Amino acid sequence: MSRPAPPQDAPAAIQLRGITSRFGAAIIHENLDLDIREGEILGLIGASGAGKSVLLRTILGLQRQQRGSVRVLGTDLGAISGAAKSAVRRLWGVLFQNGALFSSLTVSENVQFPLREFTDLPPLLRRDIARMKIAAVGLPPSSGAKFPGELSGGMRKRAGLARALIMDPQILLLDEPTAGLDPLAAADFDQLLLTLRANLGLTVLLVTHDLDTLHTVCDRVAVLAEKKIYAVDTIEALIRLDHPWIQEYFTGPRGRAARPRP
Amino acid sequence: MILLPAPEAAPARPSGQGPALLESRREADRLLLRPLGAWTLDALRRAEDDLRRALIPPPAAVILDLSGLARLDTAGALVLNASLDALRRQGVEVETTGTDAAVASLLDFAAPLPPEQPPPAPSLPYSLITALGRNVCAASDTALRLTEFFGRFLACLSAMLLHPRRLRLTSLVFHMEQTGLKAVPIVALLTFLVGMVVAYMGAKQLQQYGAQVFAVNLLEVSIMREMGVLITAIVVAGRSSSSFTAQIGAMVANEEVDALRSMGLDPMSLLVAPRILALILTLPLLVFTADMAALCGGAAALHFSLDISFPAFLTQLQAVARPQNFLVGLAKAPFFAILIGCVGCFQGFRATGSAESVGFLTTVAVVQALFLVILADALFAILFTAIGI
Repeated sequence: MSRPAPPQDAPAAIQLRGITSRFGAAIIHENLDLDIREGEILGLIGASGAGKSVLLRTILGLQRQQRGSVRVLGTDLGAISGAAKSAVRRLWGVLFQNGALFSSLTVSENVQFPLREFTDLPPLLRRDIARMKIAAVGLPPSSGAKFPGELSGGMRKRAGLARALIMDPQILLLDEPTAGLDPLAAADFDQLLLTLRANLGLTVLLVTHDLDTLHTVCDRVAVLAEKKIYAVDTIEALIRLDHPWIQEYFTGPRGRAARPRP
Repeated sequence: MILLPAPEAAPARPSGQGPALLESRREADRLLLRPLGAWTLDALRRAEDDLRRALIPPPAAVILDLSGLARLDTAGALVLNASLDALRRQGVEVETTGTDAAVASLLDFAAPLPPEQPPPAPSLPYSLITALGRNVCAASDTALRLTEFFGRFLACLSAMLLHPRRLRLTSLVFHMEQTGLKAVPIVALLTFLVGMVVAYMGAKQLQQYGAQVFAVNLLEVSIMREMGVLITAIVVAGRSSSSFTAQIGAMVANEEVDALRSMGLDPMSLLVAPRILALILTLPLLVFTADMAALCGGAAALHFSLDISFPAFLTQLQAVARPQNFLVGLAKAPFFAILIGCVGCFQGFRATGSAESVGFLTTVAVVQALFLVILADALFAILFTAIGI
């Protein structure tokens, strides 16, 4: 399928400037800058413990940075509060690593939850919208009535994605969406992301270790190393960089296996 | 959500933030529909109503002109799609105009699903009977499984008597500290207060007959025989059975118990036996502490409110105290310990993968442990009366 690659000069959907975070004496990020362009799928990679999840939580505002600013679609999250912040938070959808579904609600209720909280739509329409999103992420219609505990890990992730998509967000933040999925399910997930982007014009930030996903869906890949974004570029360009970890990552045995054959 | 680029020829397009509007015009038996503004989640409630009203009475043909849309999201596309679908099923001719690529891809994405068939709701009396039956079955099932668990514990215990080295001493001592030593302050404080209350209330009543010194007798019987052991058991049921369930439940949820089993180790002797044995050993000691604290509380209450001095209290206590009251109370402690420990560990093993189940089972464990302790206490009371102790 054709991929509408965003133009080089597309405005930044998310803009991080000078982010510094630390836990006690341990500095996680120091003066970190990152731009995520509107309409692109950006992969974020880095060694375990490099602070990928911390960065995601910083963008979400779940973790306060010591210095620096997070701008989402032009709005500085540090400068606003209350209702304005809630309004910005409605512009993104988040998929946590294990789906983070509310365990006391059924899948359908989970997916409808933001609609119930933020809109005045009648219940019937809410249910239809939820069914549409549940079908869109590739879950069978019967899974709507199930509780998260009855679903497999892959299905929980899909349900979490349906909930993240329910408000038609402009930005999608995904934490390891394909981790723990079998290769076929992971490949399905990749295609699903591409379809969603093509249809809905989403901007996606993807924290992942899955080399196949990086090759298949990401327009650019950001490398988190040495407490900052070491480089943001296409994989081909990253491989040309002289950084031992990046070299090892993409040209090691697994990296070579995942590279698309010319 | 997609912002549609304004086509050159479009007349005064409403702003993107405006409400969702619907322009409808009837020409002969044709209906012209032209959605305007932002057909997005926030404005959809009215838009859907408008759309439904516009379609009454049903027209013979519909022309849907989408060129006036400022914004459309998947929910809006779904509403449009669903109405078109319904019209087509009624045999109405539908024609869509003014769709650009972005709108078309949204309409494509938001294909309506066939209406779902809700399962028929059972009638009220029927569902009540079903619920009752289910609860009875669940309760008897739990009782059966708990009995089975107790049996397996006894089997494990007898195997341990033959091979004493299988008992994990470190674990046993750790749990004795957790369930016994650390419970001393709360148990002592609570029973001290209860002792005060019993002595004070008793003395107040007896004072009417000038017999307030017999408050000591009352205190001795009620504390030694019932209150000391019951209050201790209740506190320990709350503290320890819940923590057993939470600990073992978290291990089950984390597949630690499966890991033990796969290494050929028996979770019963590793996890359950040290916990229940620790309770069996420490609960009688706690009961003794509780008895003493309650007597101190009673003595203090009588001393400060009714001028019965400590020596007078002790003299009276020695005159009336019968060892069998004390022993009856103490004898119940190990049985309560087995009940509390078994329920706590048993519920822990019933945990499934989710964190929610552990929380739920913890509550269940406390309720069942309390229920069983009080039930057993009642049975003991009947037994001791029957054999005349």
